[in-house]
Amino acid sequence: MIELARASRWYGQVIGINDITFSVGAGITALLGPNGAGKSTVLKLVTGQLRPSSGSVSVFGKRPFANPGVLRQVGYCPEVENCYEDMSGRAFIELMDVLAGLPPRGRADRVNSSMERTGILYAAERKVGGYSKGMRQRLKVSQAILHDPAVLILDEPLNGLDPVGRREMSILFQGLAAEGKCVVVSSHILYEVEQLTHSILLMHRGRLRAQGDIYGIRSLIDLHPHHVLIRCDRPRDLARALLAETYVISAKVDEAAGGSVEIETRAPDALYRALPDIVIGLGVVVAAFESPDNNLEAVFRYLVNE
Amino acid sequence: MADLYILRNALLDLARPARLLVCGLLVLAPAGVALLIRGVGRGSFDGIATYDTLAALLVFGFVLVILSVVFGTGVITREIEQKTIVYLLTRPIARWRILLMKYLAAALAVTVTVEVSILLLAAATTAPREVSGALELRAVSLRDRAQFIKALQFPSNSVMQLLRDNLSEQTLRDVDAWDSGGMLRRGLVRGVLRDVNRLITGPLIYTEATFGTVQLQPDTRQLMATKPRGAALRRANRWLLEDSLPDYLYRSRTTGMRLGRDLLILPIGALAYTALFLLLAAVIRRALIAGLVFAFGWESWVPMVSGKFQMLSIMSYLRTLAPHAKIDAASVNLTFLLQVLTPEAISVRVAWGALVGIIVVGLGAALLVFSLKEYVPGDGDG
Repeated sequence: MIELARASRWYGQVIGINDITFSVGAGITALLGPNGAGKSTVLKLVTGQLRPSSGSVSVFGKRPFANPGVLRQVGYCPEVENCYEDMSGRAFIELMDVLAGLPPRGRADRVNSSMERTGILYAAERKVGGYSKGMRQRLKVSQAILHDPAVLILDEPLNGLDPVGRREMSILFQGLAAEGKCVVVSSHILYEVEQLTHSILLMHRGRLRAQGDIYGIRSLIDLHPHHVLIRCDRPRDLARALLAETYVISAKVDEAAGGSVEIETRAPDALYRALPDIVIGLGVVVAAFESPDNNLEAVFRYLVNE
Repeated sequence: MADLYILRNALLDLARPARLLVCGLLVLAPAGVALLIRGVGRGSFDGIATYDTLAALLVFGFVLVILSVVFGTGVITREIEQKTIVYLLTRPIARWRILLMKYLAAALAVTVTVEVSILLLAAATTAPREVSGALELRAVSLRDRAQFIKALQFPSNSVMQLLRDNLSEQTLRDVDAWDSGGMLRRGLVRGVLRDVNRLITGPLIYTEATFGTVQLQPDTRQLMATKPRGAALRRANRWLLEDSLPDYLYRSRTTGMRLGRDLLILPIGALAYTALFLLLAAVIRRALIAGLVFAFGWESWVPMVSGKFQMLSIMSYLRTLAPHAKIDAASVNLTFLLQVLTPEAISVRVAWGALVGIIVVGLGAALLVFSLKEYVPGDGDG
């Protein structure tokens, strides 16, 4: 469905991506790489926002740049959080429905259905300006799936979502892939995407470093400590409980700005499995959950022998 | 259907409270200044002169231009700054259709604002003693009947001499027999007006010898250039006399006549300026700054340059189609503001052609550039 052949893209003197070749079909493919790897450039090329400086990019055999025929089959969830702040969520999705060239008949049903699938229907009448980061992610995914495209391009779609939201979105993406759609998900967090798919494209500094199964990468990344930042009301209590676990190497408490604890672990999977029970057991209120994951950069350095 | 939805949506976006407030202030400003001048001028207030001054300087020269810059460039730059342009460029709809609807919304918003602004200005400058648009002179057309008759007795310029030469024998005798210290007979004034009106309803009275030294108003010149016939010819003759004898005759040109013309030309200006600034925004990133420099730099001084150079300014064409007269220093002390608001080198036909050309070419180029150019917000790259 998507094909890049020796595609390169420069921004003036700066290389965005360099000589990339791959093809992607039905199912979920994760585009993985640290910040600045060139993932968004690839996605912008596929969604017709950019033209390749050299090589070719095609979707269903056609060039996507400003091509409504191709874009009719593509749904795109951008990385940027910005939206039309003065609009309600429903008005925004309605506008996207209009811009998709869909008929007025059935618009209300389509809008409700897409918002319901992403779990944002309850806030449909509220202004987007008042949405949290997670709500915006759900809204962006709503507009991407609205016109039932065969190809879904999702740029960091799990960013800002809480664990429940991540799980709901993952189930949604897997459902779409099971319908035979091509779903491309970009991320800089390995653990995030490995729950979605085993098919990955690894990018680093504008180049495609590896593609295929995730397990080879997985074994490499386990060698490096993994950081998880939890913002909560009682960081010291949570840190104490987590340090009792064998897979936690260290816990750094910061009680400023609402309170947070940064956990370092060599077994993130075990941490993610145990965390909900620990939090509920302590009665701690978790405000946010992030993975300031720089260790992927370390894996890539390892891969390129730096 | 989709186009109408986009248009409606773009209009709603333009009608946000902050913008409405600014538009409201711009709408009221010219009328507010007019009321101020009216209050200060009191008895010497000249409604048409004030209307001309403020329509040229504030409505055409400021409100129209600033709104066109802000709304015209905002169509694209706002989407880029908000990073929402990505939603427009990745949907399966031709880019030009989106931009065309947004352009129409912007031009409509500019048009509505300037039209309301000029209507309020007209209302604020309508003078109570203004003579109606009738073509023939009546007693109320004369500022001071006795002074007028006295001037006919001893003509001090070629135009007054022309009037005297065209008086009937009887009227001429009555004029010369009148003692300027005595009562003015109604029959004398009626006779003078009858004879002058005969001149007005006759062939064109303009000759180089008689009117060569008179500073004619632009609309008088424009009317004469059309080789007027019938009512237009009578109007031309009357305006020639008014321009020549401003101390004796009230103006028959009403604010309403100016207003009708301005209401027609302002939307053309809105379409032309908005198209130009839309193109600017489609091509360069800092379009608002460039637009402001162009609007208040280039568009301010180029129309003042004599000769063909002024053809490089949209304002020159607008002033050709909607000329606003120079004002009399005695009535309102704003003469310095209107030194050269009268275009000389551009014909009406050229002005229409140029404005339509700017709208078509500017808009067409903007739609083409928007369809072909990459607009990617600088959000770094993951």
